[in-house]
Amino acid sequence: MRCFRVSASLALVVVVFVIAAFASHKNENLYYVSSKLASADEAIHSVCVVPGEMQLTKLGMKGKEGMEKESEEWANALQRIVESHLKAAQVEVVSSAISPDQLDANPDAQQLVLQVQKSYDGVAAQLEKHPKDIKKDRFSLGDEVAILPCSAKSDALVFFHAEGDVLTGGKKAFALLVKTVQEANLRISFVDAKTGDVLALIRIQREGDRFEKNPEKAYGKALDREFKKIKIGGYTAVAKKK
Amino acid sequence: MNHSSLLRPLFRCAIRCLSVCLSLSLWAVTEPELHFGKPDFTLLEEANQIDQIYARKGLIVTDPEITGYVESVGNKLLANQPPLENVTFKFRVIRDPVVNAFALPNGSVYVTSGLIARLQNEAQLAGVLSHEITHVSRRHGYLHNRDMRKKMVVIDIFQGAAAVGGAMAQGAANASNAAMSAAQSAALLKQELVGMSLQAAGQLGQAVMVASIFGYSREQEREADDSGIGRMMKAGYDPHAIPQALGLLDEHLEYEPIITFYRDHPKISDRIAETTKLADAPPASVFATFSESDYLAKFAPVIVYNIRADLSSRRERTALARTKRLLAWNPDDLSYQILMADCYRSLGAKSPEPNTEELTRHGVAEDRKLYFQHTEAEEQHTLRSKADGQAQLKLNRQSAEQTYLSVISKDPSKFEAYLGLGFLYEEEDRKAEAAQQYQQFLKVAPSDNYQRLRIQRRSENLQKSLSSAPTF
Repeated sequence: MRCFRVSASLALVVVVFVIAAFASHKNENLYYVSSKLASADEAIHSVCVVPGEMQLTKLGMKGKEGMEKESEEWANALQRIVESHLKAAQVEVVSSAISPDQLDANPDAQQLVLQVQKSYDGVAAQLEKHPKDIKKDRFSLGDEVAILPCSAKSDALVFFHAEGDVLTGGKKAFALLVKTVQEANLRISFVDAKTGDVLALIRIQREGDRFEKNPEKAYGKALDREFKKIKIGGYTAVAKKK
Repeated sequence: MNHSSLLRPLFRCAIRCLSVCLSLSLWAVTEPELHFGKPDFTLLEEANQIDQIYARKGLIVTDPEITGYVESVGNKLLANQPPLENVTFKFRVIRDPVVNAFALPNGSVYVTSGLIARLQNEAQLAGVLSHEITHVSRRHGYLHNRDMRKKMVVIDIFQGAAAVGGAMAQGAANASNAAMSAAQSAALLKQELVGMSLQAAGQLGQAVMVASIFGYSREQEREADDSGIGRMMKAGYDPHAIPQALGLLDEHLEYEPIITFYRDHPKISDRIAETTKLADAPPASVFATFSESDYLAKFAPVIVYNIRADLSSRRERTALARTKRLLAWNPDDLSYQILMADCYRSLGAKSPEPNTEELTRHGVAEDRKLYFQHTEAEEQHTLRSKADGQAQLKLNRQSAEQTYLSVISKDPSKFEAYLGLGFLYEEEDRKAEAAQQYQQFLKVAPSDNYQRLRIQRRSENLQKSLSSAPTF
């Protein structure tokens, strides 16, 4: 009888841990829009996608390890998904000649992209800390963004960043005991291609393993919803400029 | 002439040679043998990936003359280096205004453009490279990695125990603090404004890789200093260049968001004292001397690049100091004069050098606040709200305007001067003059200049606002 009680309480502890571990899973979508975009003073009908920064990291019992090959596949998949959902929102994705392969062959263009990325990094820390200030039109990269040739044909530049932690088998088992989750964060910023003002930021957080195994399923619907909320492309009230 | 007077110089010479040989033998410690395991190969693979990321992002300076020169200095230092398993030494300059140098376990040694701009001669560069070579030859990266992996397991176990035991959490946290420092460095990458090299490396998960860029443990850094001095002497460089280089880095012109090993770890003054003591052991006269002007002639393009990078990273004072150095070396170069005018214009209401209050602890805290809580425009707004800020703004603008005009008078084809002058006039709300300068830029600048679209837009906006302005 006593043995039964001990094993029952042990089972209860395990069940509580498992439930706690699963209950703590959360998927979150957030968006921030500048007053210009919200008031339809500005509209986004065409974008130029700046090469993104995306990385998966393997998180094991002995620390972190890079996953270069998987990261590359993930980055390509995310880039395709973001672009296809932008198109679905009737946003024209301008052929930019700044895809990673094209940049390899054009060092001058590569330096311009680097310069614009550096400008973005300059505001990124504050943007991440105070995203609500986007509404107050607080952040700008300056009109230097016009140095990118594609900015001439687009309403906005799109910067996107993503990081994901992939747990190893051992870490997953351990995660039942200590709250460690497999998660990924995707951030997409829209920057005015003329003035450099930050127009909108979308943050999508995903937990579990779907973000790696099936990114379309993990992000597709969320992207559609967020694009609708920030009113770009077909969702905007302002007609496309001719 | 007696025998003793003849023998004395010979005797002195013999003593001198003996002392040099003794000093060199003291430093000739055999490199530790490393038996590669799976984690070591993983680390090696990641180091190779970091090399690829840097190259893919266009961060490496590819000018063959500059690369060749840095390689030649590095190879001189490797003259007596026995081959190391899984190490191919490469010496590169990386585009990053943060003052730093680092070595990856695969033998790739990187010196940032920020550090290149700070050093004065080849011997100092050799000092930096020899320090980094030691990190590779003594396998500091691998040893640090193995150490970290052990600590991470302990941390995990403590965390697990803490989750079960609850009260053990504090003890576990204390035990793991030291091990977490590298991981915190990695976390910093995601939160703060950091250098391009650190950011790119931070894309890979290994905290140890980030640690190798920020700096290793105190003991390993000291070992690299000590061994670096021996390596320099063997290559014929004056070892005093190491403390000299460290002295140059102890510069406080503005708030530094990242303190890398080269600026702080261990305290730079201690390192200067220790390396001076070691360098004093052999006689200095046997080493060749290297001039600053030769160094500047080699690295001027990198320094110019770095000045531009400093200007776009809110380090206007540093940019101005480096430009003045270039101008002291070559005062007639008009492109350096334009660069100086750009620095004065970018300074806005900021003084060219920090005042005494800024150097106090309170002043540094205020600078930090301005840097992290305010955008660049907000920082300028805060400075301009004070009377001395207004006065400084006026002075800086005057210096910038005079320099731009002087360049144009000497060579009217210098289109960058029209550009700077246009920006300056627009900031001062002198719209008509700004529009005129932009027009001049569009007339003189090459048709494929990347600034054209930006200036065309500015010019159109100014024309619009001028034509819509009420006339009296």
